[in-house]
Amino acid sequence: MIRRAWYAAGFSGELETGKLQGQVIAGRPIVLWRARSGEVVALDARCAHKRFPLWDGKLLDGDVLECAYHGFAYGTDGRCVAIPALHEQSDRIPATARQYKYPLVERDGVVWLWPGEPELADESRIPPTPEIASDEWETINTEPMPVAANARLLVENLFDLTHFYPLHADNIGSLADARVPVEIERGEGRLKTIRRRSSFTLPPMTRARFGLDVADQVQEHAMVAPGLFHVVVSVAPPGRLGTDEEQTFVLYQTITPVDDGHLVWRRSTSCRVGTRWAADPSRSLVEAIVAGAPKVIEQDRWAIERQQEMFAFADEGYREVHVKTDGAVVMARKLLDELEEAEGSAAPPQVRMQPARRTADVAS
Amino acid sequence: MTPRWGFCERCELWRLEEWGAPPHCPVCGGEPRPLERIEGGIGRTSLVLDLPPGSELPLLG
Repeated sequence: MIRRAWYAAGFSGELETGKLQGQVIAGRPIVLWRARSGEVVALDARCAHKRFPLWDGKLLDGDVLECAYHGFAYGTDGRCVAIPALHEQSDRIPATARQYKYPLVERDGVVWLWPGEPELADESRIPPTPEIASDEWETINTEPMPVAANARLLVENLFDLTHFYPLHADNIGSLADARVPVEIERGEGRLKTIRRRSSFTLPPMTRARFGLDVADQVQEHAMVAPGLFHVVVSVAPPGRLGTDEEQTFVLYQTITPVDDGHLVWRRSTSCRVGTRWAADPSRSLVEAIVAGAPKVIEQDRWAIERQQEMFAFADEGYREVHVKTDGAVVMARKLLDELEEAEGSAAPPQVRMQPARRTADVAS
Repeated sequence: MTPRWGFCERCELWRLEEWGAPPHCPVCGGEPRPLERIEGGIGRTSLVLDLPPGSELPLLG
């Protein structure tokens, strides 16, 4: 599991003042809350005293977090400020009674947390998400969605545009989608796919979204960090991309690993303010896109959770076949393997880059 | 030489290799198709459609 990464602990609106939240991020149990100062605080959720989960505690006046078991109380810096069982005052509180405070940055509408070694938490590596907090964009954030699958399976799903048929054939996909040429860009820790379509017959759902039967379309999917996918889709009548007839939406998808078999998926969709839905101009385009998304998301969740279930069985000679159009998926696996190897951790063997099935394996 | 991604059709495998010049699979000698090209530190791989001349992309809409 990759821990040397910034992961979304939530969109800003998810962290309410004075309300405790418990999360597990990359195997770390964490208690979070927004202090009255506005700062989001993230502490190790295991009470330093007897490991009791602090997310079951309560906040006292002054942003002090009290453990529900013995009443050890911690300030926003993680330092213990009260131990009810002690008979004297604060000089009796041991200096070791302190909760680890996680590096956390709230930027562009996202609360980012670093579960790795604190000395490596480089804020310059936080990926920008400018549309989410911009007044020029209308944005809708989804609720966090728990998924019972390894985070890598979602990364692969998002890079794998050839599954639109048949998985999404009843909404955004078609057989033609699986055949659109792909350009893959590979940079330092980043991977991006670009698909350009000219005079493309839109599938039913996107036809309603954009009010076009035939269009030119550019679709970019980029993994800008292990925990963030950036998708940009631009659509226009044939020959009109780059003009004021172009309609664009931006989608940020955060992938926060919980453990080796679970993740939390969040989506933030943005369109330029004032962009209307072609089928019903009383509604904004972003509203229409988000309203149509749940079925697609459910189908993706269904697929990767079913895949995850199959990892319960020993490989015993089983190997995946990587076809030519799996290029981006194969490259993503390798990139994530390298990040894990660099920090001395490892994914469960099944979701690492394995030798693919070879012609020799099936030659007989 | 920088390792690049390529798909060896004979091995039916994606490989990250130094493919040599002219590019050939270090295992079977086959020609990689596609083969990543490096431009300004960015690797680019194009997956194109293999359709016979004159044929049309089937659109199911």
